[in-house]
Amino acid sequence: MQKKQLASADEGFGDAREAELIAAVIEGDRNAFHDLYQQHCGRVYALCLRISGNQAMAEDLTQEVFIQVWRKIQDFRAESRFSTWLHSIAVNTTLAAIRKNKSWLSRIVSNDDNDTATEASAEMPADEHNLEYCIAKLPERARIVFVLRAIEGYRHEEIASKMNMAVGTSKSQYARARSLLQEWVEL
Amino acid sequence: MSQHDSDTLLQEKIDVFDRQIQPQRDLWPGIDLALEEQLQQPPVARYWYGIAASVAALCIFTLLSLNNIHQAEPLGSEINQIISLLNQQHERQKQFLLSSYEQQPALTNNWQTQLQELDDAATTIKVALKNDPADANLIGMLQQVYQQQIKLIQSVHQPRWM
Repeated sequence: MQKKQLASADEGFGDAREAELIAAVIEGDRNAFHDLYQQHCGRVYALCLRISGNQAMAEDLTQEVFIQVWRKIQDFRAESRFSTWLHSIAVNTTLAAIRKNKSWLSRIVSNDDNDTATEASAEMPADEHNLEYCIAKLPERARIVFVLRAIEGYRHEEIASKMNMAVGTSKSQYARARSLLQEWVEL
Repeated sequence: MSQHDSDTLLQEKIDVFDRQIQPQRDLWPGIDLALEEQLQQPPVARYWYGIAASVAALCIFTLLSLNNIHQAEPLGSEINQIISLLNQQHERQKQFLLSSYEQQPALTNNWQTQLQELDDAATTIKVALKNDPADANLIGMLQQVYQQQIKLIQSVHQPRWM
């Protein structure tokens, strides 16, 4: 119980500190923004990497996300958690970049089977039982749905809306991802 | 292993899954640079794109107006004036960017070759325009080539982020 109270107090302190940082960033304080970046960079990068499946793209996107945050921070409403707002920008930015890449690629190469695993798995540690590695090996749509649902906690309705697909498709892609992961992880 | 067991095993792995991955390189300097540029530099590209877009719109509007007014009359001199205006505008913009980036290293070695190829394409289009001055498609193509040149100069000297 005491531990829980301490954790809750620590969280409260963290929130207060974050609120101070956000207020300073709104005033144009770059040092505060750097602190905010350091707090959230790992989470944003992980999100961009797992969705895009590409390290270089994830690095660019992480930078783009924080640049957008700097520009849009005035729009942040304190009713929601900052991390929720930030992750939403990260997800939207990454999905938009994937769509843009795909439409550019489709003009160059005619490829009907876009739903294949990316080169991400080659960038991950080659441990076949490692969940990170197995997620990166998933076909693109199944991977994105899995990351958003299982790791980010989005609802299928939200995923369907963000990915412009039917809710049923999101559910089936998630089931497909879980089934493949179960197979790969247990081997 | 039963379906239930493998599902449990996967869920256990997800539950302890690390939500964070630190990038292999420091991304902050690139972000800091972008913020600095936003704060200090005038939005040169946007300014020039704005001018280029205005000139392009003016050219197209003029061309369409002339086409409507003088359907049967030859448009040679008017078209030449528009093309000349387009060329001058583009040349000014190009020279401005080249001199702005003079001190900055380019990202690729062959960008000047690419620039030359686009120059050749522009020359071909201009020759075609001399033969068929009323062809609005050719003017559009010329504008596109000019825009590609500007984008090329900017992209090789100004990567998105470091």
